[in-house]
Amino acid sequence: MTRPTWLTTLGLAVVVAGAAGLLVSRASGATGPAPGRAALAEQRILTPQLTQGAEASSDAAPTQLIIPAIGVNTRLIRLSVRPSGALQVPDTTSVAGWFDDGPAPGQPGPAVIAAHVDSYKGPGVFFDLGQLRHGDLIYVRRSDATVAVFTVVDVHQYLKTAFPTTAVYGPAPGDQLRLITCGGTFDYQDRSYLSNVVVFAVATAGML
Amino acid sequence: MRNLIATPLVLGAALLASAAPAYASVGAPQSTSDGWVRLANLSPTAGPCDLYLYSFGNPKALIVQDDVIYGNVSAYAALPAGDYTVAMRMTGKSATSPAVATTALMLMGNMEYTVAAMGAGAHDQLQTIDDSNDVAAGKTAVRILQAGTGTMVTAEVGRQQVGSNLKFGDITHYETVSPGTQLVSLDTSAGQASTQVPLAANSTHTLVVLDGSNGPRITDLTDAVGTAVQPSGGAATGFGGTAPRPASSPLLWLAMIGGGALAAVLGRRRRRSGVTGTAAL
Repeated sequence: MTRPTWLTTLGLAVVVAGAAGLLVSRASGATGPAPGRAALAEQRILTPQLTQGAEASSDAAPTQLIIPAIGVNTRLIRLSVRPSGALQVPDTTSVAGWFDDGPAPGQPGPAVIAAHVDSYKGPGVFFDLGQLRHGDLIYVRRSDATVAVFTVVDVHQYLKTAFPTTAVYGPAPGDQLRLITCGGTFDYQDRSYLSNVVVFAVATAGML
Repeated sequence: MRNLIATPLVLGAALLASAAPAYASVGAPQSTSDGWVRLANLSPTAGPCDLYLYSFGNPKALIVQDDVIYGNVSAYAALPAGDYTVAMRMTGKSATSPAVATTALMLMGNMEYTVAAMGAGAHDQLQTIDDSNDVAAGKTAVRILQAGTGTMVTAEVGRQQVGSNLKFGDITHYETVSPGTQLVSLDTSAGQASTQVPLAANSTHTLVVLDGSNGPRITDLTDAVGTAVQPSGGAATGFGGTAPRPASSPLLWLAMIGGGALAAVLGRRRRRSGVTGTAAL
């Protein structure tokens, strides 16, 4: 057997290191799969017990958002608009916020709730929002202890440059709810997702 | 048969306090391309009635509103676009009794309608009214629906005349007015009336003229309402912690592999040439 020279050894080591680096860089470009809906359901978020008159109209402020299908149970803070005119968003990724320059959930028109899909480190409270499906139920508990119940009718993803402002915030009949988070491609230069996921829901009491 | 799961309904307008309409609980598919419909009794002479909404050709009612008195209007219900039938029976009559009036409703997606008992005298009839959610940003759109027996009705919202010479059943076009609490005033053959009506920005309204016990009265129906302020653009609701990392260029690694392979080959050659040289000596 001939012994390899130091140059051959170094060369082979560099080849192995390069191949390993290539493999690792390819693998880290993809994230793991999001948890399936079955796994989410296992989080056993309790469906609120509806009391008499739970679906009644109320202008009481919303305090808690519960979405059993994706394991969401969060308190609600209040949101306004930023000086730039954009929607204010919660400071933390662990709570959702209700846009209080619009209707309250359970009042006519579009009530809007927004929350983060993720933080710098991991999932936010609306991480699985895009997994909601037509027919899923959304519960909003209010400060007067009543619960407004909504049924998901549509889930869409829009480029932020083509955000459907009128469809989300514009005049609408009936009691409706919109849930907003981020989605799509993350632009690492702008530190921002390029799209929003919007869930459209209507009051279950007014659905046929 | 009225096998209805009576669901207490949300009734928006103040005049709705007395009736307790019931919606059938039916989980039909919904989408944002649904249309919206509400049912009303705006007939000053018909008396209390039951209003039924059927999917066309299906005898099982999707909506039943019992004991709807003059001036009562339901909340909007979302329905898939399609053909429906609305029937009116006098309160107390069975659900299978002949209707005193029926009308076909061709419901379009993303449209909203009011189907109202609007007959006068012995002529009970149902009328379909197209409602609108269209309003200039920051403004309010109002129209007048004359459902009283008074004639020559003139209506003003603020100081803006919205309708004149309105007869029973007339509906004006929507007019754009400034938002805020506005004085709505009526001048009719049956007397005058005025009332303060809060009109939110980005909302549309039907102001209904009704016969009151002492002349005309006004009821505000909200047709559609949006947020008071419309945020611009999308929402910054993510920091990227779960986003796929941008794939780095493979060129560096490929160059490393290539360079290493070259070095290894060169190393082998050098060794081989060294062996040959020794043999030659």
